[in-house]
Amino acid sequence: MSATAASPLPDLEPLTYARSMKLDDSALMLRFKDGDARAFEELYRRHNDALYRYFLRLGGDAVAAEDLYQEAWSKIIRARSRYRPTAKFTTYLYRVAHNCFIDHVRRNRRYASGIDVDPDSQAGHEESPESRTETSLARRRLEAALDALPDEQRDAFLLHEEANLTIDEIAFVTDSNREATKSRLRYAVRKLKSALNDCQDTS
Amino acid sequence: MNESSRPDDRIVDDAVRRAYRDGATETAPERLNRRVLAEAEYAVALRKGRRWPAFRPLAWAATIGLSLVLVMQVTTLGPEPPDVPEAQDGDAPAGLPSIEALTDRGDESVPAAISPAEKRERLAPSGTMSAPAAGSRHSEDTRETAAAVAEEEFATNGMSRQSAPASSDAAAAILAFCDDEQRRDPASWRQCIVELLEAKQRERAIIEYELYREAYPEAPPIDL
Repeated sequence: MSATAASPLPDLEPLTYARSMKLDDSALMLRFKDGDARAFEELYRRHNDALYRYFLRLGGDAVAAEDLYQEAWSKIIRARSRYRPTAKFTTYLYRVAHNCFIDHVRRNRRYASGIDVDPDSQAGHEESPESRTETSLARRRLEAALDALPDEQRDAFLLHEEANLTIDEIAFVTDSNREATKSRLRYAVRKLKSALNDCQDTS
Repeated sequence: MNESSRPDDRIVDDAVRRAYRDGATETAPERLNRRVLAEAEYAVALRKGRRWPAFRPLAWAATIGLSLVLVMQVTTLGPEPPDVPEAQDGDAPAGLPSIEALTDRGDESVPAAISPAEKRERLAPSGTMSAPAAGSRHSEDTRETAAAVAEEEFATNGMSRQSAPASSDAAAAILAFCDDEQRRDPASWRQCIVELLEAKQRERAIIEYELYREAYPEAPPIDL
């Protein structure tokens, strides 16, 4: 970490430097820790959309997702002085994000109770006729099925798909063991696949 | 990379993945992007401001100067003139510049008549260098937690929490829940919070938890 901090910078703007050297996430975070705001910008642009979708799908509430998204980044910014690159930055980022969500759920217990979703009711009544294709129906079914998953299963699936984390990394992020994580992911995939198959059968 | 790293990670089948990715097209709103990036820039700028070499001596000089002025005022106004009767029952003597007017202006909770010793005692926090520094830092930088401020202060100035006047500000009271040693390690800080919960001090536990969360956002959550 200190090696990165101490290495001499070429005579380039920090962001240009980060891009030209393809610094990894942890190196960018360490640069940010040392006062390079542009390194943070580069880091942020690498992860912002995936993290946003993670919150959006995890809570199923756009307003809460925005709040949590901002809260997670704020915490990373404020705790930067304590950052140690002991694991992949993505693991750190999603662990902070996961913790934000857990705290949010615990603050609003009612929010934690599963959302009772009827997949058919999710068919977009505001959509144009051309969007009512088989693909979009499958997508809507999948989204509804994802919403209907228990929090832990949805979390595991999203961490796998949005954050590209391995089972071991998901286990670390969610503070659980490998077998439990694997089982959650299996159940999630089984339910989502079943929703997709139902869609194909009905169409 | 994740799928190839371990064979049993290949759980999500292609159809599910494709269907999910077809729909996962949302991007973070630009206003959120701007807000987060602005916060990062602000945090860096603030840090740089604090690191400015000329800033610290100037701040110390200003604090010492202000303290000297206040001490001189106390010394000058300290002994009451013998010909002026002691104020009774909250009546301040007319025509005499009250020390409260100089120090606690606008604070209606302060009685008009207090002894010189009490006046000195009340002025003491203002004359102490550590207390205003901590207080002003809190108001200037709301993004920093009390723990972070305290820690930085301990590290840079070598001041301990015990050296600050007990009544200086709310942060001092907050700092009394878990001690600094416990806060240096997330596990022992968590233990302290759990103990607060067990002792039915839920509000204190919540305050400590917020500080813990700010300092260690990646540490395991606690169910309050």
